Amino acid sequence: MQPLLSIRNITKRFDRNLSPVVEFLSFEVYPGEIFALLGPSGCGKTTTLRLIAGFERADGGEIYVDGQCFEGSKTHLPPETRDIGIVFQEYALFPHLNVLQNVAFGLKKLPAKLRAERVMTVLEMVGMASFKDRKPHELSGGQQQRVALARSIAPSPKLILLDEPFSNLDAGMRHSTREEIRFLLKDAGMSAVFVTHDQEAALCFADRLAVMQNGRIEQIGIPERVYHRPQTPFVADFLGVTNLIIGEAEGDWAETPLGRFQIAPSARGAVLLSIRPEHLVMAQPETEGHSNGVGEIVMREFKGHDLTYRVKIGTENYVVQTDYCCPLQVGAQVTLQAVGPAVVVKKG
Amino acid sequence: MIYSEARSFPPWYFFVPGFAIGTGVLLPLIYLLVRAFGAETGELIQIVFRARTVHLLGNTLLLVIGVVGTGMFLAGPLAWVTTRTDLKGKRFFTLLGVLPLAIPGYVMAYALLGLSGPSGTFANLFGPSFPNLWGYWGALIALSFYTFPYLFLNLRTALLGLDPTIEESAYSLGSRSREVFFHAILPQLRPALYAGGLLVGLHVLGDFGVVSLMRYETFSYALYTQYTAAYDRTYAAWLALMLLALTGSLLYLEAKLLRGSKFHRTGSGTSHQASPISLGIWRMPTYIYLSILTLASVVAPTVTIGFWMLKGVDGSYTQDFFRALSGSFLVSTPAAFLTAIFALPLAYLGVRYSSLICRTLERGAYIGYATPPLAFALALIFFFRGVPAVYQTLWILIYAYTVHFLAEAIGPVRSALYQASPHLEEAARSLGYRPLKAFFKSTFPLLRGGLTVSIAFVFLSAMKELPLTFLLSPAGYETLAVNVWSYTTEAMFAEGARYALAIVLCSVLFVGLLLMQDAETSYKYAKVPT
Repeated sequence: MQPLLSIRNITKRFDRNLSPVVEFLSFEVYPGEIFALLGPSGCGKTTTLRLIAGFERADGGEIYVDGQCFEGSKTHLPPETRDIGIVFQEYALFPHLNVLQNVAFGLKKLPAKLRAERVMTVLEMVGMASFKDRKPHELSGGQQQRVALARSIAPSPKLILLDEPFSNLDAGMRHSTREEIRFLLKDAGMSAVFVTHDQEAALCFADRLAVMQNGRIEQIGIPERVYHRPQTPFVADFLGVTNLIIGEAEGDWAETPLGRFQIAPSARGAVLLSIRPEHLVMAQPETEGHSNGVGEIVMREFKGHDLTYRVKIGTENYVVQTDYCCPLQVGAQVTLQAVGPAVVVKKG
Repeated sequence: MIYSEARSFPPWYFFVPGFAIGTGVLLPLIYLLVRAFGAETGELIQIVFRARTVHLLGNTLLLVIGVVGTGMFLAGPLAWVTTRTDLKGKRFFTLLGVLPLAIPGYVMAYALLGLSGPSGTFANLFGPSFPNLWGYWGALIALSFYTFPYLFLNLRTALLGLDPTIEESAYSLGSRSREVFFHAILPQLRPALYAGGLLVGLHVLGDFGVVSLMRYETFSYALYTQYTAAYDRTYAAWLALMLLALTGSLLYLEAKLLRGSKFHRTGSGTSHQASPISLGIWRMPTYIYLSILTLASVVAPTVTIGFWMLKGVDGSYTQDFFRALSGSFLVSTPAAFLTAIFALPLAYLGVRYSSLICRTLERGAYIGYATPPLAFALALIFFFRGVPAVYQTLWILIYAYTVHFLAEAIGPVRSALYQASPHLEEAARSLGYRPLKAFFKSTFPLLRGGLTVSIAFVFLSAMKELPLTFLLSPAGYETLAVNVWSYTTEAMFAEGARYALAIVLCSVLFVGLLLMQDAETSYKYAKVPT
């Protein structure tokens, strides 16, 4: 399948004296796909979004949409000709226009009758038809967001960009909005790129995601794959909680302070391993007095549907996640075993 | 977050008008320099280093110091009692601190001259007369009463913004009231004192009406006599330059004093207002002080104008009055619209673009505002003397107003722009609108309110403007301000009364608008969701 959006080695710097904000970034988005750029603030993800929209000029690299060059060393298509919709973090609805006028804003080329029909279709899609005469300040945050989405969907753009779409919503709204918007985008067959610093949002909203740090992509893949097989310590740590353990690898196995672990992929020599807390299980030490890999529980946190433990082995603490019925208490002597292989995130 | 947009070069339709008006401010001033240095060196030394220059410098400085000092004496206690004590009627007395702005210096001078002397209002109403207020004391009183609100407003804001925990900790550390005032409060008021003092100083340096009516010889007065009587161009140019240099020094001094005297709250604790201090035995003296202040700054001038108004009631001057009114109107209206048109791109450049040239252009507008109008008028006369199409026409006057009041117009547009997210324009562009269209469809509708206020500000300011009008209007052209001034110089107070009243009405509108805008801004900020 030909990619809808293709970013090749894109580089952007704001100041000659500073390192680039985005450096040699490459990724592809396929038709109908929801793609997430995930990273901490200042990693260059919003700049990437603005480069795709055409609000920024790239200093190097190319951007292709449907095989057409939008951005290159000699080309820069202005945003108004790109046919790419954008939903801003704070929605940027035109405060002087009502909902109807906001959504109709990008439909200037349609004849009046068709325009009105299209506006109502889109407003019904996002469930805001009954609010059509309201001004933006009379709407809640979630409603504003749906209008902003409707406004960008209305002209049927090739691609929709969403900047931190859920960060302005309160925690209760976030879940339901995420589901709704994902359903809406899928239903409309839209392709979307969205930017977030919230790993949970990225994991459940995106079809594929790219984890960014310092202007570079660390890893791209489907959420499950990236979560279970992080390729760098940063990715392992940024996507959820993890234990980073130093070990000595020999093929599919590694020797670590916790004992012998199966690893993937196979390696040789010094390695850094990532094991998720839920992939560790605690066991009673087999032989009394055998100190290697035996630790002590230093913290137990009951959270209702699960339990978090902190186990001290040697000088390091390790986090272990268990289900709600684990009886072990602080002070107990345990060893740690892994369910499934530990992931090698760094070699040498 | 900084985007390249802010660092890149602005589009031409914002830059060209901005650049044009920037040049419009600077070019005449540069030409003034060229003129001043046109004379031979020996001649120059003779012109500049004469006893008269020292005399003028001394007089000017004496007036600046006197007015700033008197202003602090008037504004300080007023600001204190209206913010920090249990005084009754704080709102009323706060208004009192602003109201004198509605009586421009030359109207104040008219009132003082019309009030004093054997044939003045006071002698007429109460019998005994006190001597005519001429010269230094007359100028000092007129300017102090007109300008002290600038100090008052600055001090008031500073006092309201003080963190009471600083005082409270000073008390808890064992300081006594007086020590707390001098060591904990006063240092925090310094920036406000400097800022207010600067504004007052600039007004004194730029003043022409008061010193000319009071016949007190300052640089402005000398410029005026040079211009009207012995017209020595090189000397006039030098006087203007010296006045500019003095203005520059004042700005420099303020910047230097302000450096390192900014204070911020450091903690994150909740800000609470200090509990009001009981006036105690000071209650009576406070009320007496406030009554005298009200009497002198508002009642006396109003009564004087009213008195002469009644005295001169007769219909024969109605036609003259309407001629002057339409004269004022005819230049103020186009100037107001033109200023707003130029203020828009300048404010846009200043708010949206961070590059040096854009910020410089916006600053340029403030140079136009700070330049003493008399010096600027003279620069324009030199500059346009050879252009008969402009010289001695209303165009030059409109041009001068536009440049001079630009800073006043930028303010409201700028605060409106700060409320409009740049993302609005970007959203419009992503929806298929080209940059300029996107601006007019998305941002411009939000600036309408700000622009209207700008137009009103400049219109009312131009209506009461004196020195530029005086020097630049075509021979025989009458405006309200010019008529107040010329009737006062001839002690024809009854004839001048209606013009003075019209000016005061314009100024009251201006002050009302100022207060309204202020209240609206704080309301808007209060509404912004966090």
